[in-house]
Amino acid sequence: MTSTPAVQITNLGKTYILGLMGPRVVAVDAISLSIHSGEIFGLLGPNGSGKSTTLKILLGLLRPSAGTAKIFGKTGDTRGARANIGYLPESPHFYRFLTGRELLEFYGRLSGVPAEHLDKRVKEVLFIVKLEHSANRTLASYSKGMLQRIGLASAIIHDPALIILDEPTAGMDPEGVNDVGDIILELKRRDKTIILCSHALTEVEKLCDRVAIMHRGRILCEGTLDTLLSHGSEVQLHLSALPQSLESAIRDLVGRHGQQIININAWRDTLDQVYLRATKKE
Amino acid sequence: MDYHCSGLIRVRTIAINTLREAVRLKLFYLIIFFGCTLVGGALLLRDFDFGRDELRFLTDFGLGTILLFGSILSIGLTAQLFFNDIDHRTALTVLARPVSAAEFLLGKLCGIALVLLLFLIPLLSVLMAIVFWREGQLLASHPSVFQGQPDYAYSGLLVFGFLQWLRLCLLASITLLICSFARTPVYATIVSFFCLTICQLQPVARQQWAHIESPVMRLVTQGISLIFPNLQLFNIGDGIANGVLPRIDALAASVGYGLAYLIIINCLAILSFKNREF
Repeated sequence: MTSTPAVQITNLGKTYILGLMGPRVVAVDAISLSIHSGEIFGLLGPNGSGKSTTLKILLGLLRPSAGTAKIFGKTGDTRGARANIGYLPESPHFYRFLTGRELLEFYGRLSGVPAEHLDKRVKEVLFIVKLEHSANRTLASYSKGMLQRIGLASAIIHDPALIILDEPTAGMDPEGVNDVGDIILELKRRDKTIILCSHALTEVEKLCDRVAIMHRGRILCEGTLDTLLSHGSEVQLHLSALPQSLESAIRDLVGRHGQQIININAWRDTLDQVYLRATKKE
Repeated sequence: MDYHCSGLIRVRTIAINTLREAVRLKLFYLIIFFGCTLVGGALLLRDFDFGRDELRFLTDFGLGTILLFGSILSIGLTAQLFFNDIDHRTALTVLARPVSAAEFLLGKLCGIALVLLLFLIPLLSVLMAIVFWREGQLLASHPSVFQGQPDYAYSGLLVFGFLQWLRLCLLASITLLICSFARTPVYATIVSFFCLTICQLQPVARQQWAHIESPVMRLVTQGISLIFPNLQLFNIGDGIANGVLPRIDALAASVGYGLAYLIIINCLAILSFKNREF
């Protein structure tokens, strides 16, 4: 494929100097990344690993000390590049005196949504994030999860091609996390490129096509989830039940082929799945 | 979607939002309340009727109150609104959009200018009302002093209001310039009040500088006097009580002077804010 990648980061570095003559802190250390159009890319790493700094350089909010970061071929400090980005920062704080609808109108106008399309677009994104019934309430009355969802709505109000989500599910209940996951998948179906920064690894595993793990400003590993998660040639077999007789037969068969069974466990749901099933019944 | 949007729409959007944010702050209403109370309270400070001079006293007291509270509002509100956006990271969500540093700052300044207008309207209205009421009483009790004719220059109060609005916008611009590189609102507020003091004392300082013998020092001090605007140029309250309006050419010179500084200070603020990292 020869098309321009959605994000192209080349030898990107960022060094902070603390104080006037203070020590130098390397936040991002010569990283290179390429994110393709239409994929969900997970940027993972512990706190202080350089993820947010990388995202801020992409958005033109920080200047790189070295290298380049381009969005659809343009650097983030250009207005043209930023017009194509939707950004939800970590723990966002919105104007609490605005209603959900007013907030979306505010960001819509700033992002250049024409006045004649604004009302329709606001209704669309309110529907996507399931906040159409709370649209006329002030944000001061929103729960943490609702604030995250209205933040997500404000990030996509102008229908950007690239959406950067920094901890979009922080503080949300499992149902909210699940809803945000569904929204992200819906955006992917609409050909959006999504960069997802999150500590919720279950979500990342469920949603992302590729991930990169950062630590101390460097990328430790990067690749598709299949590549990163597979254990060589080892496989998993999921049976409806395993009576003793069948287990012995399988062990014999596997042994005759020169292989061995490493582990047999009862299949367990995750706690998330149990929670979601239980709350959906209610 | 290929959306186009003019900078003016973005500036207007930020300005309206800044106005909405400001009018929800208790500080705004507190300053208006205390300002109106003090302007009206001037009536209680007189122990006896002293004719035309009383109107002059009420005017001076009222205009002084407007100057004082307006300066506090201009500096305090600008620093608070700016750092609300920085500390709560709402500035990130705005600047990550196709909004330039210039549009962000101009939007803030226009919003604050509207707030300052909302501050001046009730205070000037209260001042006009008490002067009008007392003038009526004094006309009845001291007809000889007024020669039977009221001569208070009410239009002068409106001119004064406009010039003070310009002066307060200038002060808000200076505060925004300091905010553009400051890290805390306390620092920005303190430095802004220092600047206000320097700007207010310019005429006194200029008189002193005229006596400096060293040409180098005189050049340096003249340079400093150019950097800080002379805010005393906007005070035209002296003649209002006697029915004397400022001359049009002096008025135009003051407006031109204010606008020139407004443009220069905002350009510097934009330049400084552009280099700020978040």
